[in-house]
Amino acid sequence: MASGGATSTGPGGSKPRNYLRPMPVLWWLKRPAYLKFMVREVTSAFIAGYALCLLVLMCGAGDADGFHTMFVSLQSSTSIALHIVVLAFALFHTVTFFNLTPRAIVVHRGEEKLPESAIKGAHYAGWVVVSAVLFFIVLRG
Amino acid sequence: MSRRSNEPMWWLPFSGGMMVDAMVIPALVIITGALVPLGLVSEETLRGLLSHILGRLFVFVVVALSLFHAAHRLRFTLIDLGLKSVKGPIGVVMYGSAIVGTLVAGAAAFGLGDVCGSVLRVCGGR
Repeated sequence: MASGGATSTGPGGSKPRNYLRPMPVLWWLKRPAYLKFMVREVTSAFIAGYALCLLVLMCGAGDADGFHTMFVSLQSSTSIALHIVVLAFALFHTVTFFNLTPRAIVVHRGEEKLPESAIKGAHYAGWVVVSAVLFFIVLRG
Repeated sequence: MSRRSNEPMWWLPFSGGMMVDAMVIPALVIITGALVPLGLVSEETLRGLLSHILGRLFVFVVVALSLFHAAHRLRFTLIDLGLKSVKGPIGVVMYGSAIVGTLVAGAAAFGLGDVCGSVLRVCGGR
């Protein structure tokens, strides 16, 4: 990708001098939109942390006694509180991502562009179906 | 000096992770954080699902993609926070952790060696 003037060679063929504008570390607190961006970024860490917990739970499934201990700890108030935090971040990720999908995915139908609401709607519908399937699988047992 | 960007390579697992996280994580969190404490999902059911090969494959995919998704995002978050000078090492640490995590999750899910035992020991679960 061309980065324009930033990498162009200076006069006399000298090495490029890139100017890095100094940025305050807390730049993302300056505007609500920046903060939202940063929260979105951080949601991924919480989700990855949750995924690692799932991995530990899966590993625990190999041993009945060990799994029992884990299953009981899932009912603790600490676990529930952590789940509430992760759920908030996860929903933030899901909603902001789905709302963004029409920008990333442009579907043409002949000459017409599929409306943004259709692309967004398809993702939300998919989400409902996937969630329903997961709930069905665990509740059926 | 000019090097081809390795970014496209990381984009596939990243965007896959973005989609999978958006689609399944809220439901999974509700299952382990609400349905289990409410007693709607029994211990046997959950253990059965997590012991089944399809359940383990599912957990592996979720873990691997979530790790790559987070690695890619946090890499740029740290750079945006001013660590641009150590961009290279950050990339190595982030993607390196995701790769290691994926290998561990894969070995654990498919029962290679006693990786699960090691995971549990590290987490103090046993």
